[in-house]
Amino acid sequence: MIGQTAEIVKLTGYLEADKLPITLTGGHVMQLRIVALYVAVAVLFCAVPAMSHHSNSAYEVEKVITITGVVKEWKWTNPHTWLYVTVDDEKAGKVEWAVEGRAPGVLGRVGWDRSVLKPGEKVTIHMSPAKDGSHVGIIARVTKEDGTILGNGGNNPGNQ
Amino acid sequence: MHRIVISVTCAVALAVLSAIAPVQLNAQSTPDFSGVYYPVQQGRGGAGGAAAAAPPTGQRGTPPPPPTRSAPTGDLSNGRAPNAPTLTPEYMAKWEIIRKSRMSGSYEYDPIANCLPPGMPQMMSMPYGMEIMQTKDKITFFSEWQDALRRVYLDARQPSKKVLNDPTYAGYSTGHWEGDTLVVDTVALHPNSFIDNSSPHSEEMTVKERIRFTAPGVLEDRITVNDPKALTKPWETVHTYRKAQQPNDELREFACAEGLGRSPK
Repeated sequence: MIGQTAEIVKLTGYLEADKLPITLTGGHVMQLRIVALYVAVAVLFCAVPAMSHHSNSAYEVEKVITITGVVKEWKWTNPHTWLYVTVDDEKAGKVEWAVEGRAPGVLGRVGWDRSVLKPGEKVTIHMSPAKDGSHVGIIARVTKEDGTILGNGGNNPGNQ
Repeated sequence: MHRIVISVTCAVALAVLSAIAPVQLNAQSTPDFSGVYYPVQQGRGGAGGAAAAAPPTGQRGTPPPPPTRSAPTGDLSNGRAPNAPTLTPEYMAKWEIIRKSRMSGSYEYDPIANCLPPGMPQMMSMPYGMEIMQTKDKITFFSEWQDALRRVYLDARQPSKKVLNDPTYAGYSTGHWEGDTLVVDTVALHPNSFIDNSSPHSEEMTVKERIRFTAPGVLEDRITVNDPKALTKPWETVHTYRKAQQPNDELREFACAEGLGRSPK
């Protein structure tokens, strides 16, 4: 499902404003403190090019669309991470999306790790789409099926 | 007996003084900047108000609002910011070329996208965090962003002719203490980098910094950039950083080239 406006975030499993469950390897559920939960949203609005990497040059960053799909691959690589998902669009059939995330260092400080997303799991992605209309975007937020929200760390990844 | 008591008292007092005094003097004249820091979010305009209206941490049951943007614009489509460096016509023309290239999605004029160091003074934005290593004679700044490094020599040495003829991204920095403030001068800067995120400069650019704690754990870097060829007037900017606590006091490797597909199979 692809919408032009951000959809209401699923709240299942949402326990506390600053403590969210994150499913890690082996099925263990750990309480991880995602301190940047709100701030991740806040810093998205920062007009300063503090995140002045190349990645966002080709994205419509003023626009956020939402896709829900199944994880095909999660690449924990520098300088940026990549999330590949398969979206089952009723009109177009199965569509592959490649969505860029921030650096492992940044995301690692706000609750992500190299196995936080696994092939086969369902995710909802808030992202800004590529300007050229291709099935590429840049992550604003990823919501797991259990309601866990993974923010993008914003500009202050370490100290909030 | 009386003289012995006085002697012993004096000896103890001297011993205590000699142990404490150097530490106190050292602490007063040269603060220790060592540690990991992250930039402090400045209050900016735009949609930031929505962020401020977000429920405070700890309030239960209220979800964060859906994001409305993914990132700040980086393709220069918004033109020059009001506080951007004021470029001379020659360098403004260069910037227009950079802008057109960026807006087309090209990385030709984007050293960062090519995994080159951000260089001075841009690197001091330290968006992914900074680690400072300080000794009496040298202070080293490490940026997680691009794994960039710069060294500031504090032992009163001056840049040699060889150094001046060999510009680098970080440049050559010498510093001295003025009270609690570290004053740093940087020269020999490679023109293949930007003043901010996109403004070009010449090899004549110099950077002056005044770095100090404005509060415990809050470090400020006041930067003044001079470039007689590229700037119509000196450009000033201020960065503020906050010292990190565990577990965020560890920076991660960046290894930018991994994303260029050049890592061995």
